[in-house]
Amino acid sequence: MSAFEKLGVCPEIIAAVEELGWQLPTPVQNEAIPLILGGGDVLAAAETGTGKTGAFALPVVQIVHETLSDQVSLGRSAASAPSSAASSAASSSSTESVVLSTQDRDLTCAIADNGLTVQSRAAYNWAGARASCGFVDGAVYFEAKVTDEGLARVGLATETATLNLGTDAGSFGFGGTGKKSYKRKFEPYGEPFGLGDVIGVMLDRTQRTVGFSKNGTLFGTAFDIPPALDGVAIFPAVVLKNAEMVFNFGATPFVHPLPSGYVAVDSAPPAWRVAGGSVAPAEAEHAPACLILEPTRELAEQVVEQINAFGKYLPEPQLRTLLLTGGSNAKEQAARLRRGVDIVVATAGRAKEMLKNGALSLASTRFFVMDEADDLLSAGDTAAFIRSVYAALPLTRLRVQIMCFSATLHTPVIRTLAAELMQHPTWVDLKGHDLLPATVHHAAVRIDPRVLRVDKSRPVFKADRVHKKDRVRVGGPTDADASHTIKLLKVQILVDLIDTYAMDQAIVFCRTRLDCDTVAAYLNSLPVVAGGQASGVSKYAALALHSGMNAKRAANLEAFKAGSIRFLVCTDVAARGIDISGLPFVINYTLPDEAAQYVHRVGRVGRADTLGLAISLVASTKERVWFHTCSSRSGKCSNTALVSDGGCTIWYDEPALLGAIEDLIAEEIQFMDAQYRLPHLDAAPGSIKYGEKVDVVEAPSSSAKYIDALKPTVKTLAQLEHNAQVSFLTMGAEFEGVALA
Amino acid sequence: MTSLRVKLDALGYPEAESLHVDDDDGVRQLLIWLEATKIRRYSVEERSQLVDAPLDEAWRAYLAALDAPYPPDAGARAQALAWVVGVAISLEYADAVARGAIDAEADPGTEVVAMDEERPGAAVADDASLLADDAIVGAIRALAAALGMPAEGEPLDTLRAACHAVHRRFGASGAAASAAALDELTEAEAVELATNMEKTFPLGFDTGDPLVNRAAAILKLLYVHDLRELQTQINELIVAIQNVTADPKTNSKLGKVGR
Amino acid sequence: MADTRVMDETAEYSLEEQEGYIKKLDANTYEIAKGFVPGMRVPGRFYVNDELRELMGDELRQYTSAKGVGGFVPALKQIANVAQLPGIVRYSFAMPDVHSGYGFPIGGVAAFDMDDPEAVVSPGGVGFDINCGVRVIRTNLREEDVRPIQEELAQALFNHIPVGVGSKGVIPMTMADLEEVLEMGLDWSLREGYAWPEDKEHCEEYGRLLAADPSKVSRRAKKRGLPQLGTLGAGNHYLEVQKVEEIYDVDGAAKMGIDAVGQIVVMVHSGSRGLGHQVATDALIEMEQAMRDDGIDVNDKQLSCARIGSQAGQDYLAAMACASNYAFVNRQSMTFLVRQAFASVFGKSPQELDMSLIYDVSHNIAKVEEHLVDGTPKTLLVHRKGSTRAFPPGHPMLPVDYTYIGQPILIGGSMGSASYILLGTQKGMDETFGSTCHGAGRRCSRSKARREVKYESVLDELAAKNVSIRVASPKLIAEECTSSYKDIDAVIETCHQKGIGRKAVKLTPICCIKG
Repeated sequence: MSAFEKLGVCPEIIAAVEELGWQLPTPVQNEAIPLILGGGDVLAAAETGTGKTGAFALPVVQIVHETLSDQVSLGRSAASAPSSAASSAASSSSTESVVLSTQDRDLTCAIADNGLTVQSRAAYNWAGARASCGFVDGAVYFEAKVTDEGLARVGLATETATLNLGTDAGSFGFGGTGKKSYKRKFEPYGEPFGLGDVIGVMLDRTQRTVGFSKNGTLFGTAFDIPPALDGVAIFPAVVLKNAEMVFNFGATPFVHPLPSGYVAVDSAPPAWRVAGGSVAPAEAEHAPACLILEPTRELAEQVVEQINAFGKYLPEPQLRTLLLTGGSNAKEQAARLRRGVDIVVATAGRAKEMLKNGALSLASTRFFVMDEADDLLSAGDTAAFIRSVYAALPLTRLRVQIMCFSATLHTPVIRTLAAELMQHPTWVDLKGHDLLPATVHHAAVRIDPRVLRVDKSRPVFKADRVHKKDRVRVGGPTDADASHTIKLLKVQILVDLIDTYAMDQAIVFCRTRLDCDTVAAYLNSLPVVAGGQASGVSKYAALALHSGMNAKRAANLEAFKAGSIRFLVCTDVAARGIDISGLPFVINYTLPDEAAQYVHRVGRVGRADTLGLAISLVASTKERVWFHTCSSRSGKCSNTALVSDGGCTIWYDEPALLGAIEDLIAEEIQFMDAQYRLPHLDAAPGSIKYGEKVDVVEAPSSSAKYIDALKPTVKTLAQLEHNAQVSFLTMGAEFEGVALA
Repeated sequence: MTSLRVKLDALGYPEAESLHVDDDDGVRQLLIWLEATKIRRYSVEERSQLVDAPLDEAWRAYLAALDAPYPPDAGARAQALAWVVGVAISLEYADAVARGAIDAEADPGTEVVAMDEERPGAAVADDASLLADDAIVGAIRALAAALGMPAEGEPLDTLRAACHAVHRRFGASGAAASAAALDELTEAEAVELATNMEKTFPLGFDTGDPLVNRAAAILKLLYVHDLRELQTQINELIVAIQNVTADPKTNSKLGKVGR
Repeated sequence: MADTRVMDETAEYSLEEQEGYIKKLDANTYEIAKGFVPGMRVPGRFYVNDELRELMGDELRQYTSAKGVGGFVPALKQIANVAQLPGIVRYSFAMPDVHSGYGFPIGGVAAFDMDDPEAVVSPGGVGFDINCGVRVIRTNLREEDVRPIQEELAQALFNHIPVGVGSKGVIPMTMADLEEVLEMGLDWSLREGYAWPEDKEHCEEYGRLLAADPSKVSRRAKKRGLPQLGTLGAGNHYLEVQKVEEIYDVDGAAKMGIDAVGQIVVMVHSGSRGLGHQVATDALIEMEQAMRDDGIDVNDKQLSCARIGSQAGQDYLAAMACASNYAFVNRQSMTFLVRQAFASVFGKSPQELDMSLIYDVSHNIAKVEEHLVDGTPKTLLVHRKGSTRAFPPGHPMLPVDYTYIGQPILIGGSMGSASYILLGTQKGMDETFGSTCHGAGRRCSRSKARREVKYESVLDELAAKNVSIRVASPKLIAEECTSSYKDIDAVIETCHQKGIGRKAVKLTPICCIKG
């Protein structure tokens, strides 16, 4: 019996998972899978390599497949013979009175048993409903009376249109405020109406018009129905906010005279009618059941791979998964979406595009997963995008489960997001408040321009030219002098660190692309000294990694892993998604201005019980750096004035930033001494083997001392228990004459 | 000790207040006084033995002379002493009745038992009572003594009292006979209850000899009683420690409770 | 015949052939002859009534026709696989609630001779939820006191006790505290004031396994366990306010503090949460290597094990002891919260309500115990997974108060079903190393139950029985419906008939709190 069975995973998926070699669920899977199967929202702290993909993908695959197969069996029985279905549906509705549908409505919209009174008490949200029958031909009329105060919009809509009448291209509304609404455009029409008023609705498919009346007064044509909707059934519809209306489709006499040329909805001949439910609501074909957002294309690909592997043994219907990322043909993707897709794994950029142009619809999405949420949210506009995704989810109609996986949960941005989007999410926090494992050692190097000397014998470093227009002197007294000196010192110290720690692989984080370029260029320009892992590879072989450059990026990463590139110099943005196992060193050339970012950078070492060292170069005084507010955002700009003066530079205060980081990780980052030793670890460079696995060393606990002291007593106690039991066993036996062996 | 003091007061012993069972001298004084004034078992020469011999020897000899059911070890000293005092009281009482100072008729609860001159310790004569069985009597006495009750006196009374005590300790709150009912027990019923107690408090194995079984069962009962006492004392000790260390807190903000 | 011929793992056998190895010894006792699977060192022995026997036969039939696809091994096979492990003594046992588990069947008992250097210890024989167990707290309340306010009581309990998957505790704990909990078990609760001394008295192992060594528990396990202390968890864990439905043994019940039908008690069923899971997982992985090193062969790789005396074996036992201690403290913490909840609802202190602990038993654990084997006392490592210890009257490891009646065995039913208290017997001691069943046992997989049973109908069923229920994850309770489980009355009756545990009290639920 697989250990996955206890979590509620179905046998077919278990078979696939066992094939992958997964014997035992990982902790995050143990916690998250039952939660998700149970219908809850989950917020989990988990990093790459903890099996978190399985934690959300397994249950999602299972439920999406279940839903799919349920629908298919329903669909099969409903559409046993396609042509007869329409006629049988039509014939069944030919004599039936039309009522408001209990299926085709928002959950907060209540419909009375007779199907004619509709009410919604939700004060803040619109709740809508449609009738059970729509029309493709002829001209029909019905009435609706406002029976309770509140906001109401009455009208007509297609079956796949939004229930919020008038806010899309398939629904036409007329609201109590005296406005008609279509495609979200609200325009004055007719008169306002309210309690006691009777609104007449006229739908003319032959003339392609929609019109309204109030208390018998016709207001004329409100809308022209676009020809695109020819042949598409249009249903009576209504949407309410804390209001109530009573409908009359003709079962009882109308209050006002039937306009000429129209018949009552109930009297419409079968040929005009189309029963609701022939297209199950929200089964619009480009509406997947699950949307998974990943920060990078690579990660998205991995997830798709896993999902396909999980679904291997699932019976028909097969799950259709789509990788929706940049760098692939958008048209093809749109076509796939149109044909029908169940699970979409996307990066934010492409998903946003597809949502905007309508190729991707979220109308039947029941699962929304944000993976690596901290990375996702680090791109500024993604948060806004996520909110727009949330707004597009069919939350009033379906239970939508929202899941969020992030390496760090305890940041304000994640918390606000969780509070906004998720319903009583269960926090699966397996990492605790320790943002970083104990296998990461932190250290800093003080770059004090007043104390350290720039070594003039070394190659000159072309820094970022912030001070190009200033007259600066290395080692001089002014702030500008100091700032300039810092820049020269930093690269020098970097080389020193590389030498002292004999680094053959490290990621160096810089603030800007320019910095990456200059630093990488400098490293590559150093006199080549062959040595290290791969002969012929320069000791300082470096590469500046920028975001973008897709094709080369994969190759560059491979080279880095292989060792032909030793130092990857990159920005935070460029580094997203990079996971190098056994990475020994991370160097913060400049501290990040957001403390949480430190955690991300540094978290790339110390993974999977491997020791790692994170060194931060911290200037003791402020440094003047680029901060482009202009449009050029690159080396073209030379406006060295301060931002506060309309320019593109700022003073960067690293000591303050260090304090913020220490607060976040709740640890003081110790400075190395002049020989780059780690005083707090009492370790000289080279004495600790970074990049290698370490036996998990437990710090002896405070209770260890008295545990040891109690050991003899515990032993005696155990012996006494043993004796007592033996005595008990033998006593009875003795008297019973049982010979003891 | 208090009941002992009361008895000594009743007998008129001047040092009743200051008597302590571990005080060898005090005990010796008491024995000498009891023997001299109340019991008068010894001849004059034998009495001097009480004065001169080492206390253990004297004590042992005296108890033997009185046919006491107790071994004279220190542990049983209190009980043995109580027994001796009890003997003195019976004798004193008999005298008082004989003198006419007490009307035996008016106080029927107390039976004056004919003292056997040979065996002053045998409070129960060889009558045809069910309680004649020495083994039973001995067991009852042992039971009572272990329960901290005076073991002398009528076996039936002792038995009743022992039933009370045992039920208080081990009995069910509603199921078994209530305390009042216990007082109403006849002899026969009391003995049956005592025997049935072996069923409720079984030995757990069979030694092959019913008497040994019974004794062992009673021994076991006493042992379990001791354990219970010990356990209660341990619990009290733990409570004392808890008074110092305990600080149970909950903080409902930490977890998620309710909905 | 059947004893000598061994069924080859790879060949396909008909159902008749396989059934041929299973002999019925008496109304409730069956034996699985050696040869049912390769390498059996002892026969298998299980106790079921006819109906339960049917279910096991069904499993075997399904397995035979599926030809082993789907990774499901029927309980019968698992019982036999366990019999192959080195050092096993007498029989590989299974109780009436047996069903398929990870490697070992759930409801199984396997004892290993600690003097045998080849004997092994296996985490699968203990289970992932180490020291999952049950405790029952008595009160002096009666049904009449609770019925009128049962909803309020259920809500109060739900408000006091964190429940559900991923739930976090409300008792403040630091990592240092956790270390102490792992080492000291219930003694920690005592020290901190969450327990009464009588609680320790009335707890299996006095709430503390002495072999615990927190340094053998991985950091990851500790991380998982830290926030979860004092929580109920999910799955089949629950907390119930129950009433005494029937008393079968008046004296025995009285000694336990139960003296009337209609008396109210509280039952807590919970385990070691994420910490136990992680300890088990860590050990299973480590022992894969140990098996290779020591040349141990097993029929099913889920039976990952190590020699008891090996480093891996000793480390596991020490870590398992820690996880057990954690679970004792967990149940004790919940006892504390339950007492508080009752106090707040009834306006009386827990002492006034006489809310003392009747007993606390474990049904997923491995214990070092002395047993008579062929007339000699031997030290055995007894694995009980989904099986409860059932020591007889007089046993020195029992609390003084129960020395005459035997060990109370607390059997929690599934949600909505009855629960029972049994008492240990000499027969059980002689026959099954003092072990008996633990509950009802699943008959249908979780995923199947979730699909087929609507949780609303489960809730309706409970409402019909007038049970007030509070659930943290409504959708998951479909997996816990009574139809997913075997009939507990049948399981208990079988135990009683067999003499491994005699019925003392039957309990039925009034309030149910589930994760």
